[in-house]
Amino acid sequence: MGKLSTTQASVSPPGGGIGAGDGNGNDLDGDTPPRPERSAARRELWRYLAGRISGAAVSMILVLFSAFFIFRIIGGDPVRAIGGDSPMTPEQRAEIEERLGLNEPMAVQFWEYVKDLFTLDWGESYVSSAQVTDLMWDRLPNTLLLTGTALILAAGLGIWIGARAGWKQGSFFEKSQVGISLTLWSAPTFWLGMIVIIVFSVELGMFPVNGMRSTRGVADGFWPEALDVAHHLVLPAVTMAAVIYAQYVLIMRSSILEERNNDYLTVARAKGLRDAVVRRRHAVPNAMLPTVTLIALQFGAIFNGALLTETIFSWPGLGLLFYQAIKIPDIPLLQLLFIFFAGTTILANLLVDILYRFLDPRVRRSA
Amino acid sequence: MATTPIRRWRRMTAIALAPMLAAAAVAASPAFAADDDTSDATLVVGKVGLNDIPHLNPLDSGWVVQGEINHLMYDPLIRWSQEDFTPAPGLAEDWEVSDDGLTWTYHLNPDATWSDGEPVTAQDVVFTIDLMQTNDILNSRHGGLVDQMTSVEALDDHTVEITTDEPSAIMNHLNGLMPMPEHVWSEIDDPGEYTGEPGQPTSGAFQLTEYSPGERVVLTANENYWDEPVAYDELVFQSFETTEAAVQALQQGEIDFLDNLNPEQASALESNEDVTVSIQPSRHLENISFNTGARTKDGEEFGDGHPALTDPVVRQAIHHVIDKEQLVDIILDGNGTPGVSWVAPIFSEHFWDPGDERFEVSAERGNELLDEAGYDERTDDGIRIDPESGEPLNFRLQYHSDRPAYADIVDFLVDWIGELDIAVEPTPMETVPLNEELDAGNYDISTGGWNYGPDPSEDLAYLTCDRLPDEPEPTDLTFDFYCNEEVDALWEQQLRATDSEERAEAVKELQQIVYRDSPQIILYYDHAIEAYSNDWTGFGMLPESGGTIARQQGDYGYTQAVPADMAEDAAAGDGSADDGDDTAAASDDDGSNTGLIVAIVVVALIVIGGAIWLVRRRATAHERE
Repeated sequence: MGKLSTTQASVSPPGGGIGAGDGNGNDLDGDTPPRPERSAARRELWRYLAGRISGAAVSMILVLFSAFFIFRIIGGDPVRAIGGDSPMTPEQRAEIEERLGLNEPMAVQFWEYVKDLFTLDWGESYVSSAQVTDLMWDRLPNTLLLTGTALILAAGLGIWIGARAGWKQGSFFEKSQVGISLTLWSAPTFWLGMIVIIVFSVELGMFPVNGMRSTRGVADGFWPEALDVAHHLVLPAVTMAAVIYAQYVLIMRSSILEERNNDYLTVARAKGLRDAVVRRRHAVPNAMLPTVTLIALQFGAIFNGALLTETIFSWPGLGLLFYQAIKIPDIPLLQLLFIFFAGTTILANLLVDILYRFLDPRVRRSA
Repeated sequence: MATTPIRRWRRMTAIALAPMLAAAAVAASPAFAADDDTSDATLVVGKVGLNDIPHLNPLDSGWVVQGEINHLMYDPLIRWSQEDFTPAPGLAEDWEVSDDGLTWTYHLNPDATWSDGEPVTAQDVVFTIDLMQTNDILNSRHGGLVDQMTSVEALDDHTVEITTDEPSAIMNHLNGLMPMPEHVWSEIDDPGEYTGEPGQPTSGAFQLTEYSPGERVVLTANENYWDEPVAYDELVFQSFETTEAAVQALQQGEIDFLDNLNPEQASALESNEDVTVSIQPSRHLENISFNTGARTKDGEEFGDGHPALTDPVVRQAIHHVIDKEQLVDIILDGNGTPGVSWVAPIFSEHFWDPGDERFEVSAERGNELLDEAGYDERTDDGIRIDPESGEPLNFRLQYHSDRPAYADIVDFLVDWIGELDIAVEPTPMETVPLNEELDAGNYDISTGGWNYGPDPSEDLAYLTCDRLPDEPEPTDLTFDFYCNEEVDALWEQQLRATDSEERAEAVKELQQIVYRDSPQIILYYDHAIEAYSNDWTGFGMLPESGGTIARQQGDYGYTQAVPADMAEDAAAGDGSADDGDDTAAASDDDGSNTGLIVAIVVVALIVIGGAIWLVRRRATAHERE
């Protein structure tokens, strides 16, 4: 399978143009398929797209329905959580229940939920009575900053290490790097986070422990503030990247292993190129495909935030928002976040499916 | 694999640059420290649970943290005295009650002003009480207080007259009545929906400058505070998800104060010479409680509690085998007081000392009680049998698995209660499902904890028959479905006592009855563990003689804090206490110049990256196709 190179796969099927009545005999080299073939391919493309999109739509509908039930099944008493930690009278309880609509029967609540879905009214947070969409948009940039940075770090580092490791199979570099990345991959995030905090914040005092901004404030102006955020970003981003980069290492390593003995690499070497150049310019691009998939899939994940990382470092993103909401449970906020997380993941999957078709002709052929 | 000259050059550059980079980072820290421009003294308080609070509406406040913040911004009519929790002047400098105990006259302090300079007037008080009576949301919080007021009148600018439908003790303790400025609040559309706006005029020591929900609350000192302005400029409440993280932040100097610590965290902090650990009596207690028979007001039973626990004798026998002193020594490492009843000893006016009536720790006495009451038959396993139901005394003990102390307590309980030939089966449970079981009456014995508030009416109401549910449905408004008419009468009496001493007597007598009846056994009052940076001093405890700094129903804790070097200056008779630069040093020495280090590192990385890329390009130029 791995032997199928890009050039081989993109050649038109032999005889593809022969049966076509409209062949005008111009395509001497057979490279340009005749028109009916092309429109058939287009129909087939549309069928493919329609299949993928309707699949995604079905998933999305299931998500929308389960969002209502999932957070009501887990239990908890939002009224108790909202009323506060001081004693609550029956009148207060009744007032809060009525305000939240919790005194309605489940069927009525569900009907309200469905109605609100159609009007895109996501409701107000139980806790702060702000629109849940506002809460989400407020936190989204923070999450994108953290997960985006971590993803770039992880992908960059993982691809680089993976390519080298696969290239020199059996070397000390390969064994040690794969070992390290797998160890980090299996380390629980909260544990790794605590260790990182203890070492770099508490003992060495290099980075702040908590949050996204300095507790005592910094001088006004863009640069001091940006630097302050960057300073707070280092530990969570590194921790998150440390946990996930192993995926890239392993995938890159195995696809490089597949490419390693291909003829085109022998040709490249025969041209007198240095080993590193052969790897970088010839092997890596061909081995990138599975990694691209992974990056695209993780692209959905960057919206989901990093629940554990954000919680440990009190990074005010969507993951922390979700964690805070689930303690209540703040159902309207949980519903929105759940749908958003699931939605971005479904969308990312859909995009990967579609992109893949363009990136990898094998998918096109087998579809 | 011969190394080409170019590769060697590159490697050498890298080796040379690495230490230079590190050196630059190190050099940067002292060099830029002085440049860091946060020249105000800021007290940073770490708060776990800050993100629980829904908003900062001072009139719709249900959280301890919210209460702390309210007290910093708004003065109540009457404070709890820092000495002994007796009523002390707040915005009202004095007050009196008519002979029939129905009409109260409050005289406001004429010096009291809002932070915008306007005077605090009787009209503000009338306006606020009217809001609390008419706004649904605010009324659900304050109905218990304001619904009994039949008339509220401003006699002049500084005198308010309030008439209640019945005599009411709470009118002496109006700590929960914080007037809002009518000249601003009358323009708020729905004060029930107010969430806390920066810059609002306040009557207290601070004003709100920033509220980032789930992140932080920033308060700025009110320089013209009518009472006693604080000695610093800004107070920040910084949210933390876990106390662990906050402890690390305190050690690193990111925060100055932290409360609600456990003994392990305290010992970690005690070894830090920049931090002071304060262990003082609190209003928190731990107890075990018995299902005294879940039932409705009409007596319809529900739940699955063991019938023998409705008999006070069984509960008293168990009370006799619980060695509270030992629990304090072992579980709390001595940082607590053996428990008696619901009111903690820091509330000295209302605390009841059992004296001779104290349950003597004696398994013999407990066994005697049970034998006398007819629990003398035993099963084959030697467990006593309830003569009435014929069931063996085999109790479930459900405890909160997320509180490590409970597991240790439960080990003791199983052994001790076993001495009575009563079997106990411990079951750990998560808090939420456990509380659901407790509310539904599905338990025999359970663990619990409570923060007793200074006003007895609210908390002791949980012991009255009125709190039994109307329908056989779960409720969290009663303590173990306890109901005793004598207790009800005393509760009513203290509620109506306009004389403080009379009230205290009723509260004590009520506790005495509950202690004898033992629907709950109060194990101990645990000390609160708090810690603060040595850059600060002077935190005010409530009560003064030994109490907590945080979680007060007052503002003494933070408002009395002073930057340490300012306190030294004052002690040295320097007198230049308000020298801005001095106070700055208090909070600045661990300020974050580190951002600059990162900047330098980032810039250096980019430069090096660029250099390497250039070198590589040149190196491989001849190889490129």
